Amino acid sequence: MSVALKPVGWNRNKLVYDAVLIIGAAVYILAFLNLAPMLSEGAAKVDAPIQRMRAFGSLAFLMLTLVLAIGPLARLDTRFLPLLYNRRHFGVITALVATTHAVAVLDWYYAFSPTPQLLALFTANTSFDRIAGFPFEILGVAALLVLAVLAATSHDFWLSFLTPPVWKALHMSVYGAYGAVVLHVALGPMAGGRDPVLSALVAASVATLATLHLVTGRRERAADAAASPPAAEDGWIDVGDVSEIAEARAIVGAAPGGERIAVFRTKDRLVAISNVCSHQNGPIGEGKVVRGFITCPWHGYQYRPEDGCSPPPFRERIHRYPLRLNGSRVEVATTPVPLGTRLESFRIPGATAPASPVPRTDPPGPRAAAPGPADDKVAS
Amino acid sequence: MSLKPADPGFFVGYFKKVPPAVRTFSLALAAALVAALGGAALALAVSPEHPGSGAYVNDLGDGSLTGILETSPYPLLRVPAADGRPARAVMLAGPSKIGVGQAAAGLDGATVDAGGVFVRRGDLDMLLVGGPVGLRASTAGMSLPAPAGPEPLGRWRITGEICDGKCAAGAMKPGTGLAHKACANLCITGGVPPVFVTTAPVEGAGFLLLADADGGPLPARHLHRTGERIAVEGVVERRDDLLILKVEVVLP
Amino acid sequence: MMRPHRRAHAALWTALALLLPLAVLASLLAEPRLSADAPPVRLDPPAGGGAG
Repeated sequence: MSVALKPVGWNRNKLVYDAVLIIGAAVYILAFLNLAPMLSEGAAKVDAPIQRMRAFGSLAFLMLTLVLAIGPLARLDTRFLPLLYNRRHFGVITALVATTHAVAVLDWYYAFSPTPQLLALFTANTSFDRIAGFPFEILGVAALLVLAVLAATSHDFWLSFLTPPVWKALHMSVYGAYGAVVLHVALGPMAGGRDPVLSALVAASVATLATLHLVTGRRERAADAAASPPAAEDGWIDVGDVSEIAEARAIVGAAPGGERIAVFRTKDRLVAISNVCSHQNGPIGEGKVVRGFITCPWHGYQYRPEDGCSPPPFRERIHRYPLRLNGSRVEVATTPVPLGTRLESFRIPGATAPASPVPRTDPPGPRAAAPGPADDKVAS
Repeated sequence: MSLKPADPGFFVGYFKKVPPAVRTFSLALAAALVAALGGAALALAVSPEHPGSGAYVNDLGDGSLTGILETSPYPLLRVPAADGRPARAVMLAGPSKIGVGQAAAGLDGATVDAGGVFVRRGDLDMLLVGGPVGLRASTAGMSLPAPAGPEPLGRWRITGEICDGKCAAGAMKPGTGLAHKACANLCITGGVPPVFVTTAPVEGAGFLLLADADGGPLPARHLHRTGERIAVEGVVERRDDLLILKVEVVLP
Repeated sequence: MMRPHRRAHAALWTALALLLPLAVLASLLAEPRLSADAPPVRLDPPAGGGAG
């Protein structure tokens, strides 16, 4: 766990990200509530509170779909990575929109009755044994509770407090919430075929997300299956040719157990390090060495090449692996050295520049813009 | 795993400098997102079924209707024919999701004055008792003719939807369907008269007031079937202009 | 460390991809298939004087 966590670190990119989200949501709500009634007599006749329920409910569903698409999109195409960096804000805004929807429902369908609103929510419809007429609101309540818990625990304080595996498992409940929302919509507003566009949206959402996640999962499984070939000596694997590694970048091998190992090249040295970021299991090997630190592409967590530790005040540590060259082949031991052990990085004999003519990817001049990891931690 | 050949510029959100390729792509994505959200909003807003034309109508102003109160199956005001207008049976409900059972208790068969506001959709209307008069024993001292007895119209199988008469008449738009089910149940358990909105007219009526087979209020078990299109069987009777369906069977 | 997470992820999405369409389909099929303009049917003979 890191020390000195500051509340939330804002930076310009985050502000732009949040601004785009809020503008998008505002455009949606304004178009739904103000523009549509001018274009359609039917929309104009609908009660304002019911129109609000529909607007915020459908927006929450759309936003949940989008936020769940970010992960696989970023795995399939790195251009989507900037969406991932601030994804939790997307989630928190989605939870707020969903809450607004729930309040609008309570204040209308469950209001004006001697039964208190929250009691009525659970007692007005008890047809639990029916499909048509099932109290679909309960499914919405369940999903909203999950979104609320996830929003409340989205800060990195909770990530370090709960530990990444627990936090990750907890946040996977968002998929259950998504399933509940789909059923909530199917059994409620979609029922009776009264809303064809909503039905089409739900179908498209389920199809898109299932396809994206399954395709991404297949790719990852294929990569797991394609373990690196063993080297001549037991306990070592052949990760690739040194000429494949561009300066400041890595290639990734897989140990027989499936543990992935990234081999970075920085200046004339090679470093073998776990491919799994200790923050959120991000793929470090798709990252880059920035100002001397191995940097995860997801949220920018940084590690020192020499010992796999984040620089103070941070305490994240990841495994490093012994490495050697066999001719031009990079070989890595599949057993890591103990966490935090200093292990001299491997100097490429006779090499002072990248062995292959890889285009230089560093922008000219130092990446002075990239702050140290201290900014990263509070910013996530 | 081989290296991705084109490096669009490594970028993490806290970097101050955004590589041009990342900036261009992100801005295009942002514009597409906002445009898609606006388009989706319009498509979704105009897609649902038209909610119909029910509305509140203040026919009475501060005045009242005088008639004979019947409390079974639900409070009804039997208003005698007057000024060329035939006799009618007016369903009564409270101003929120409650009926007027309490105010009507003890007034069964009495001549009463009822004030308030109508909510009306087509021939379905309901008087929401309120205003200065509310529901009280008549102060006019009139003696009204006894209302006509119920006219039996036979046994029927009718297709339609169980709704609360108030929301269906336009207190909520839309006030029908499964999305509205919990609200309808709250109204009906609160004492608002439930109605069966039919798919085709029965003896000229587009809806019938619902009652139990014995003529009492609709049993709670039928709340499991509110909001969906169902077929029911039962005996129909007419009181003035109002049809009443005494539900015997709700078909599965 | 990452593999169990990936496996759980894959299992979850396989389940969702199968169950959600089925559940939505079931919710559509559960609705009564009654015509939107089904006429009322008189069950006793009206000629009998309406003794119902």
